[in-house]
Amino acid sequence: MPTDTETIESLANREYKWGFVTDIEQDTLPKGLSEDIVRRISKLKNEPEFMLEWRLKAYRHWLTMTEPKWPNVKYPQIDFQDMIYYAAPKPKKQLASMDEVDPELLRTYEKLGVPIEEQKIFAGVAVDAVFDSVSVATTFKAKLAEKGIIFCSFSEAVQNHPELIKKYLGSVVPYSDNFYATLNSAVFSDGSFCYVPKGVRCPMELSTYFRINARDTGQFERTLIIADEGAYVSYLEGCTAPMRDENQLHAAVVELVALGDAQIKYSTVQNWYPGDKNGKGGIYNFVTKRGKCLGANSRISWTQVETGSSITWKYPSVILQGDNSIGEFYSVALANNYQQADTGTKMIHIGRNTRSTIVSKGISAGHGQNTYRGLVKVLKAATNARNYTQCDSLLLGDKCGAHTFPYIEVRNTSSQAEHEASTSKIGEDQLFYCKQRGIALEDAVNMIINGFCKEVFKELPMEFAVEAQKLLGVSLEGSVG
Amino acid sequence: MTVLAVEKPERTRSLDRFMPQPHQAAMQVPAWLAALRQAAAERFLQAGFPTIHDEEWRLTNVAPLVERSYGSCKRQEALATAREPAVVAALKAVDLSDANAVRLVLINGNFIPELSSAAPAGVTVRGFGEAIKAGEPALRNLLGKLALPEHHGFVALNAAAFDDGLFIDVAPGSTPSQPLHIVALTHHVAPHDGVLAHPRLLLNLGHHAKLTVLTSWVGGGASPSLTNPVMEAFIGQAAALELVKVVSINDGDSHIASDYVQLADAANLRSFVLNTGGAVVRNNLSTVLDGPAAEATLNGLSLSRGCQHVDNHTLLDHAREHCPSHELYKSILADQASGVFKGRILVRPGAQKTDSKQTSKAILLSDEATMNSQPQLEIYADDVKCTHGSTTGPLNDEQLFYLRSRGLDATRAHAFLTYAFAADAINRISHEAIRAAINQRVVERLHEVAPG
Repeated sequence: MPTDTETIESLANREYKWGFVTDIEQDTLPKGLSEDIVRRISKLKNEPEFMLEWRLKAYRHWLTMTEPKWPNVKYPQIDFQDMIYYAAPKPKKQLASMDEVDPELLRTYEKLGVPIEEQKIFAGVAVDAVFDSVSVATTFKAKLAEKGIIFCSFSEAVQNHPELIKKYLGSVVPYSDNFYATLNSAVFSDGSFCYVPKGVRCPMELSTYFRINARDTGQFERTLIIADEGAYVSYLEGCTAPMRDENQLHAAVVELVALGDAQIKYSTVQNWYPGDKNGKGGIYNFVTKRGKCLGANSRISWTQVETGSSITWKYPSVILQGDNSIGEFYSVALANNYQQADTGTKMIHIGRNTRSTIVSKGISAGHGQNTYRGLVKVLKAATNARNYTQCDSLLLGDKCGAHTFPYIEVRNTSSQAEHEASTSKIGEDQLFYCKQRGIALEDAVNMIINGFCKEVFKELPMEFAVEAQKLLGVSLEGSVG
Repeated sequence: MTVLAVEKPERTRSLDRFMPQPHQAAMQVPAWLAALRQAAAERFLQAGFPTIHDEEWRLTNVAPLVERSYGSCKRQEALATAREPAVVAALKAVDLSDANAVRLVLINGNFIPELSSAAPAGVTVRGFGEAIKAGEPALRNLLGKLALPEHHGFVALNAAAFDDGLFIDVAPGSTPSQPLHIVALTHHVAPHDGVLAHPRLLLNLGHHAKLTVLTSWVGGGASPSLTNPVMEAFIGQAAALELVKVVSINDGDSHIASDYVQLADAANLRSFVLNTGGAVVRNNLSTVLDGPAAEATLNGLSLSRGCQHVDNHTLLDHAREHCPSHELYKSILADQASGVFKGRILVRPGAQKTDSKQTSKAILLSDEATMNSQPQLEIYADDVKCTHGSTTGPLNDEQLFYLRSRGLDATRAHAFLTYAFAADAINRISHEAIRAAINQRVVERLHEVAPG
C-alpha cells in the first residue's frame, strides 16, 4: 500500500487533455506592435473612426507606461515586439449559419465539449466562441433577439450598435487603467458583447469559450456586458489553449455595467494550459475584470474557478456606486506544479448601504504559489457599508506557498469590514477519520477538497459546478492524497 | 575668489545635509565601525528616504518630515538640556520608581549616566562611546547585523549618523527582578530648529537570561522634532525579553522607529507598544524566530486623535520549525486621525509546525478617521496553522444597548466599551507594575480621545 505522501505526490500527474493544436488556416498580422499595426487591426475590422481614435489613444498612452512589478509572481521579461497581435481563422467572411463555420474549427469545439453545434442546442446554452480573439459563432441569437437581448461578437456590436459601444466602452476600465488593460485597449481584436434591455430576465445562461490556438499569439479579447434597469443575466466563460513550450500572453478586459435593480452573474472556469510538470510553457493570464454597480439596488457577482495558466494575475472587482448595491466574489484558485496565481478582488464602496462578500479558496500543490490579494475600500460617503471577507488556503506538499495580502481601508464610522484568513494543510485527523470509515486516501482528499471549495461551487451554474469539480480533481490528480 | 563646486544632482545635495559633518564626529570610532557607517552613508545618499511610491511606505508620507530643517544635539548640549525645567518635568512625568525600575536616560540619542541609575547585577549598561572604548566584543559582533541599511533610508541614516545610544548586555542566566526603564527624550531649546535624533539601542540577552525593558519616548519643543531610533535585540537560547514601548511625544513631533529582534532556540519575546502622541509615528518591528520552539507575542494599542497618523508595521519571520507566534494590534481613532496596520507573517520553507495567529482590530470614533489594515500571510511550508483576522468598525450597537438597558448613560456605556476594547491588549503585558502604569496612562488618554 502506498504511503500517504506517495499517494499525495502521485495525484497530479495527469496530462492537460485540451492541449491539441487545430490545423486551421489563420489570417495573421506580422509580429510586433506599432501604430501601424493598431491601424491595420482597426481597418481589418472595418471599425468606425471613434474606435480607431480610442485604440490610438490607448496605444500612445501605453508607450508611456511600464510593466507593473508588484505582484507576487516571477516570469521572464515579455518581449512585446515578438508577438502576433492579430490572428483570425480563415475564411473571414460573414457567417450566416453554423454550416459555414470551418468544420475543423467545429471539431475543435467538439473536442472541448462546447455545445456550439445545432444538435447540441438542447443544452440550452447560448454560446459565443472566441478563437484566437476572433468571435467565430454565436448561437441562439434569434431567440435572444426576441426578448431584445443583444448577444454577439464585439466586432458585430461595433458595426451594429455603435451608440452602446461609444457609451459604455471604457466606462468601467478606462483605456489608461493599467499596463495590460491599456495594451488590450489598443490591440483587442474581438470579444463578446451583451446588452440586456430594461426589465428583461435573460432566459438562458450566456456563455463564451475562449481558445488560443496559433503559436506566438497573444489573445486580447474584450467583453462588455450591460444589464439595463431591472435586467438579469448570467454569463459563463470558459478557456483552453494548446500545449506549447513557449509562454503565451492572454490580456483580456471584461467590463460589466449594472444599472438600477439589475443583476449580473459572471462565472469563469479558467483552464488555460498551465505548462508542463517542470513549469515549461503555459499561458500568462493577465486579465482586468471589473464591474460597476451603477444604479441603486444593483448586484454584480463574480465566481471563478482558476485551475489553468502558468501565471494567473487578475482581480475581478466591483465598484459599488449605487446605493444598496451588492458585490460578490467567490473564487477557487489552484496552483499546482510551477503554477503561480496572484488573484483576488477589489470592492470599492461608494454608495450608501452597499454590501460586499468575498470568499476566496486557494489550493497550493507541488511548487505552486498561490496569492490572494484583495482591496476593500469604504469611502466616506458609503455609510452603513458592510464587508465580509474569508480567505482560506490549503497546502498540499511542502514546496508550495500560500499567501494572503488583504488591503482594508475604511473611512467612516458606520461601516464594518471583517476579514478572516486561515492557512493549513489537510487535517490528519480528517484523513484518518475518512480512512477509518473505509474511504480510500485519494477519495478522502478529493472529498475534503470539494468540501473546502463547496461555498464557491454552490455559486456556479449547475453544469459549470460539475465541470469545476471534475477539473479540480483532474488538476490535482497525483499531487494530493 | 572663485569657488569651484562639483555639481551634484539635486537629490544628493538635499540628502547631504543629513550627513554628520566631519568635525561633528565626536565619537572616536574603530575601523570596523567607520566602514559600517561609510557603507550606510553611501546607501542613504543613493536611496534617500522612502516615498509613498514604495509599497511599504504607501500609507505613511514622510516627505513633510524630511523636508524640514533640523538641528543636531551633542552630548554637552544634551547635558545642558537636562537641566531645563520642561525636561525635568517630562522626566518626572514618566517616573516609574514605584515599580522599582532602573532608569536610563537618553537625551536626543545621548546616554546621560548622570541622570541614570546603576544597572542591576548581571546587566551591563553602557553608552556607545564607552562601550566602544571598552572594546566590547559583542558590539562588533552584533551591531548592524539585523538592521541593514538596505531596508530603508531611515535605517541607513541612523547607522550613518548615530552619535550615541545604549548597549545593554545581560549575562547568561541572569534574571534581574528590576525592569529597565529607558527614558528617551527628544528636546530642543527655542528658538532653534527642532532636533533630528538618531538613538541607537543594542540589547543582548545571554542564554536563560530574563529581562523586562520599558522604553518611554517623550519630549518635544516649540518646533517639530524627529526621532529616528534603531534597536537591535538578540535573545539567546531559552532567554526571555519583555519589551514595552510607549510613544507619548508632543503632537508636533514625529517618531520613525525600526526595531529588530532575533530569537534563538526556545527564546521568548513579549512586546507591547502604546502610541498616544506624535504627528507621524511609525513603528517597524521585525522579529525573526531563528531557533526551533521560539515564541513571539506582539501586541499594540494606539489611541489617536486630532490629525495624528500612527503606522504599525510588523514582520514575523518564521525561519525555523515549531515556533508559535501571537499578534494583537488595536486602534482607537478619533477626529481626523489615521491608522495603519501592516502585519506580515512569513513562514519560510522548512518552518513546519508553525502556529501563528494575527489579529488587528480598529474602532473609528469619527467619520473623519481612517484605518488601513493589511494583515499578510506568506507561507512556504505546508504543515502550519496560520490565521489572521481584521475588523474595522464602530462600537457594537448590541453591546451599547445591553449597557444602556442596565442603566448606564450613553457616554458611560461608550467609555466602558472603549476601555474594554483597549484593556484586551493591555492585559497581555505580563510585568504587573508596568501593566498598571500603562493602564493608568490609557485611562487618562481615553478621556481625551473619547470624552466621557
